[in-house]
Amino acid sequence: MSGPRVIDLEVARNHLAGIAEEMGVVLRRTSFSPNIKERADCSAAVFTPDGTMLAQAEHIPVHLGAMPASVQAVLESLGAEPGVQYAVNDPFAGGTHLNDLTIVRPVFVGGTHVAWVANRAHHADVGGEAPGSMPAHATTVDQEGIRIPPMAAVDDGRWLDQFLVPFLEATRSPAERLGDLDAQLGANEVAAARVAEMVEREGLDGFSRLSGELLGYGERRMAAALRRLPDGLYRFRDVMEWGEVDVPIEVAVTVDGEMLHADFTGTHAQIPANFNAVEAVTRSCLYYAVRVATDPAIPANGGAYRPITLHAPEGSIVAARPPAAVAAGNVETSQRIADVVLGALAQAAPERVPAASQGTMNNVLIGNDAFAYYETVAGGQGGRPTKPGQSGIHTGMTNTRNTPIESLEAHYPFRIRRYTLRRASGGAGLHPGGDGIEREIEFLAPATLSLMGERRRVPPWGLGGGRPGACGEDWLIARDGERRRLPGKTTVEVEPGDRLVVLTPGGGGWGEP
Amino acid sequence: MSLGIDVGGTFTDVVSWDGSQLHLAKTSSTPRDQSVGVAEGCRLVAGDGAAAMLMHGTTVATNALLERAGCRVMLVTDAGFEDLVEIGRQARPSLYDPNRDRADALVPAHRRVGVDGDFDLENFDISADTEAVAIGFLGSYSDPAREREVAEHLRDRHPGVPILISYEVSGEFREFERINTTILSAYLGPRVESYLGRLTERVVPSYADRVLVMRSSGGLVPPADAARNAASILLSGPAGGVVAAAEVGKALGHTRVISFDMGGTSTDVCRIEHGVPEIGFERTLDGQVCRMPSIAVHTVGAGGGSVGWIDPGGALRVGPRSAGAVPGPACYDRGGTEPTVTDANVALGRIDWRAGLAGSLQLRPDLARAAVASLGERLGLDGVATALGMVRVVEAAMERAIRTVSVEEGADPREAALVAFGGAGGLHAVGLARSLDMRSVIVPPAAGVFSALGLLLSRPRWDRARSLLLREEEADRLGPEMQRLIDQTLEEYRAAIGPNVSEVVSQVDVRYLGQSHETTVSFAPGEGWGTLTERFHRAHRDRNGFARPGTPIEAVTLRVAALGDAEIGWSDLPEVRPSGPAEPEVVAVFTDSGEVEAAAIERSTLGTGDRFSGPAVIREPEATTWVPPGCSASVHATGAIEVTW
Repeated sequence: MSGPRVIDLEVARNHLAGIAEEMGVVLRRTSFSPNIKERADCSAAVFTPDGTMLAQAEHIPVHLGAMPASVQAVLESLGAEPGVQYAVNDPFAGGTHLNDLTIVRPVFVGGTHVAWVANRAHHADVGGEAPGSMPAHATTVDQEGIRIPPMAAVDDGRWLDQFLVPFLEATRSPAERLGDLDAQLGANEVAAARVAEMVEREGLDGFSRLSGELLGYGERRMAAALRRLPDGLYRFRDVMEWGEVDVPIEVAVTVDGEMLHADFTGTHAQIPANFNAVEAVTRSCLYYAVRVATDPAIPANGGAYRPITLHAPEGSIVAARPPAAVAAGNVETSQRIADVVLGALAQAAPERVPAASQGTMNNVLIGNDAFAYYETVAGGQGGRPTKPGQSGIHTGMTNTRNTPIESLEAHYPFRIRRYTLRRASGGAGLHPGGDGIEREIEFLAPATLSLMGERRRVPPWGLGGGRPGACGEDWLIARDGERRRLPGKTTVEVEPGDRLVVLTPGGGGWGEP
Repeated sequence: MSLGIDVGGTFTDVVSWDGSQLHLAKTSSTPRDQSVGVAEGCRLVAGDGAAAMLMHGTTVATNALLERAGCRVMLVTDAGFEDLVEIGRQARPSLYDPNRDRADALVPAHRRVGVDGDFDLENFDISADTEAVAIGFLGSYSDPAREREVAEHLRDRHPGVPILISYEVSGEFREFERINTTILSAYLGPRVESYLGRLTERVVPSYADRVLVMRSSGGLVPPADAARNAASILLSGPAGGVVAAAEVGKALGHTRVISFDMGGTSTDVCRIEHGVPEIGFERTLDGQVCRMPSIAVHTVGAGGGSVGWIDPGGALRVGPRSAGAVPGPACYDRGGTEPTVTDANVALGRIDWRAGLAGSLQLRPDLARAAVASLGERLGLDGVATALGMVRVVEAAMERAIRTVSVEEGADPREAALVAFGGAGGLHAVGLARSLDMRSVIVPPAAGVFSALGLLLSRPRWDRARSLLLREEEADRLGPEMQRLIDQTLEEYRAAIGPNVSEVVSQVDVRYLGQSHETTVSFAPGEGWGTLTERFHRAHRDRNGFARPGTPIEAVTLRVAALGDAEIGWSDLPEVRPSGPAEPEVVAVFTDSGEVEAAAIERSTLGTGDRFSGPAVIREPEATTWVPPGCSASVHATGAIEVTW
């Protein structure tokens, strides 16, 4: 492309990125719960009428490739009505796991459907068999909470009973949910108005031509990045831990000029446990890994993903079918999918890709009838080609902030007894892996504790001779001092005086020590 | 007489006020010891006898942080939490770039000491090379006893070492932010203290009786207090300009203003309501979180020196890389060949090369055009189209920033006026304000030394905050606690600054129980919980679009600010008098709709009530204002130009 269009393109890119950013700002500013406001577990995006993403403001990478699926699902099953906003969280119809609820709104200008805006937020509780809606024992999705297929949720600015009533009945925290829902609705309204302004300024044809050019621009950026990778077939395999059973995830990445194809053939079939991932999650992980291994500044739009194709075998743990349980697919399996793609791409871009990072989010859910609390604990980053990995930091598909200890202790019946780096847990190497974290929680009231962690048996790998990082560990220390090692994925009842110690994994080392 | 002196990277700006006239001067900054340049600035404007007051904006703390040239700090904290300041909020700075690192903690692991409740205080000591100590325990926002005990013990042993406790420095809950702010103050304090000591020695009593230092809040305090809480002056530099922008906006009758300070490498934007700059209570500077009242400046990495380039997707981009002062824009003829925003403006005829820039520098329009044209060749565009493109692209990035600062507070930029200053502000303000559909653009007088002028317009100020996390059951504590905090603030204000307090602002950060963020509302001791609740619901609805009248609330943090009077107000400024008859030249300027003939006007020839219409280029020594076709401009009494369309 050349000539004056180059300038229009850059101006339009700024405008659309600005709209997505504004939508994200409004969502966070107006939301009620710590999950969205403080932990920023949310994303916002603008789409073409056919559901191709134009611009996105994502705060955690796992939302990266999964948002378009929500819009597609609404488009295919319901179409677009003026004044209506749609809700979806069904993992098998445009969602990822039940906590992530996406609100989708079409934008009309003068009767013509010109765009979609959508935002996704993690709701702390959507029902199910354990507070926080991620019961570790679940074997089917119905145990995890309310499933919302694409449906009309808002008409003319008001929530519709067909969505709101069952949703609020299902959750353990309806007031907080309503606060967050209002924020989601309002963020879409702000973005829709801004998109409409832009369409009025550019004209219908002008806007659709700009949209096309933006997608072409994204495609050129990605193609330019892929061209720099050497052609070849790169394979990698890693596993998820199902008790003592290894559940393999395999990928074969083909780089061919400006194209990249990832084939997960060989990956284990879906299992009666909660860490099955739907294909939208796998897509996010693939896009994430490619950006990390090539050019982090590639814009997040549908064009950029045209050169990337995916084959995820239907019915496997990277493309689960109903009625699989999926809560941890989004938060745990996603980490491993990113790991295997990065492991494969490390062979193509050895100068960019770090050794394996902690590869888990160490999800801790605590609750009873009176409260539900959710946190993820950071760990070690893998050693990097140019420097050591960082310690005590979120890596991979999440980046949520922790909740201040003084804030927790003011509101929940537990105390944090220890929160420090877990020394010498990073793998040895020329550039050692970063250290994990030690976190100790003392319970002050009876509660249900759910843990969902990985890398408890199979450590984060090193690269180029670097040693693996330390595995994570979870311990329950009873009031009488008895210490009991907990499985990485479990739900247990705890009593006042009991203490939970979580040791998060270190990153793998890079290069011979 | 009073003096306002603002030290920037290149120039030290001076404004003196003798009761009827302003005198302006500029001298080179002296980065090795800023106080040398400040003394030289004083000399330039020295009248008969010393000024009563010298008000100072300094980047000493900011530079020491950016260069990591602070002192060796030891942190005393709870055992088991020694790494808390390293872990921070556990988030990484870039989602996709594995090589972008979180900023290192200012205190390395071997200087972080954890102690538990029953440790042996008598035998506790710091390592011999410690220059300052930060003490921060969990929960100390409500109970400082342990922090005080350790501090007293160490002060007895080491009377020369500054010992800071988190309760005194910040007093707010959220342990990481409070403790890190304490570390920042300890880390920067000795550097700030020695600088302000040298400065005071150089200027008192020869040039001034007394020095006050600008804080990030836009308020002034004595040097000793600035040094004692050095984290509070990290935005001392940009604060003056924002205060001045607030004053000029108010004087011209605008309730909502956005300040737009576009310099060489970056642009600062800040929202101002009813003449009061937006204050934020937390910000991150170079990766370090600081919980101090600070004017809520939003910085964009683009300015006059930002370089235009073509990215791998073929798009024209501008910034964030800057040509800096050396080699600078191509037109400076110092060896730069890459086209900058300044070059684009020169190529378009909007910066009149004959006028020169920053005094003596002679601009080379041929070099500007060549640099822009060579970029254009690769885009398939001629030089003029490329230059216009660069301007559109940089303005699109600024537009995004202004929208963001507005929506973050739930405000609409359409009701605001844009106050433009800094070397490049006037060149882009009108284009920007028009695409944002704003009301008008104000180009204030003395735009080249605007931050220094802002110092003269600033008020002494003393802030205190205290987190309580009160719920309705304890509602009757709220009034007395607020009164206590007001009394403490007033006492400290009087001890530090003087007896005359003209205003006390008392506020409470409130949230719904279960919310993780607060909304600040005003509250006075005599008022009740009901009033607080009502105000909070209203503020929450205004800002966030909804309220939950049935949900219980929590009063999280009490805030008090005591303010004195500014040395001068905007209305004291003298009426502008034209230096001579206006004899506009005709110059050629390129716009999106082709080449036009514009009037080039010397700003010094403009007087009160003058009106003219665009296209026009207004020249003054350090800045240029571009008034596009279709706009009209009028000159206010103090020389401020307001552009409307």
